[in-house]
Amino acid sequence: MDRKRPFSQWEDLTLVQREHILAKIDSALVAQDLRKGDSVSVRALFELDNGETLELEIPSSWPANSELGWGYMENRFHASKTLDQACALLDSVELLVPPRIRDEELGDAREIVYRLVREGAPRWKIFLKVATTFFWVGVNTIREVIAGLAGQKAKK
Amino acid sequence: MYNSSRFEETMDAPVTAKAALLQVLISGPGYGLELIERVSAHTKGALVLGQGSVYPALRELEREGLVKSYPGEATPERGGRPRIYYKITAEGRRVAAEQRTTMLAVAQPLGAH
Repeated sequence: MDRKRPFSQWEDLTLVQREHILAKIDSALVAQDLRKGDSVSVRALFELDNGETLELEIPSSWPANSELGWGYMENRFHASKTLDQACALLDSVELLVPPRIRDEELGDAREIVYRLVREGAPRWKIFLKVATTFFWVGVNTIREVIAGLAGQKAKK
Repeated sequence: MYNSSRFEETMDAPVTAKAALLQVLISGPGYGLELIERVSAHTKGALVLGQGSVYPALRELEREGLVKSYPGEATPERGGRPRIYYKITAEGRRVAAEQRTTMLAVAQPLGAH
């Protein structure tokens, strides 16, 4: 199956796919002996472990220098790893909270986490957001339960 | 339904989260995260609502019949969960107008009377 993804969809790839692409790009940059300050537009085809062919478009602003390029991709890799971990943590409590809080508060928190990653926020800031979300989701779940009980009592 | 004693309750602080949310919802529907930003922009950063105040305030406004919620688009960023949008009801508009009048009257300089 042929699939084409723009570079901005890097976050949609699995960790294995990202590692695979990082290694390919690194070796390609070294092989082409690109110089510091050069810029290049890369349309690269990658065959992934699952047999899928991925055409990845990298914008011309991407630093072509091997060292810079690798550092850039490594940062992106660590950021996306943080994103996966933060989202997995947020998703882990979804069965413990009412559906309304799950959709509204956990959904909004995931949006914030994505935004923080895009802005290049440090790892501690992202996990602090996850921690405060856990705290408020807990408090708001108790509030909702109390409000629900109070509503039932008022109806009687 | 809304009654005057509830209105007095909401006016016991200079500007409550509920009052601020009602004011920004007049300009159109919005969801939690967006409403936090709209309140901050509307008050030029003087009032910044947090996760601990915005969601309970919105749900309370809904229980009081001042706003109505409906599910919006579900995006991959949200893990497939829909955004929960809120829109102001006719009763909400009336209360928001009352609150605005009261706040403006309180803000009048003493010499103006």
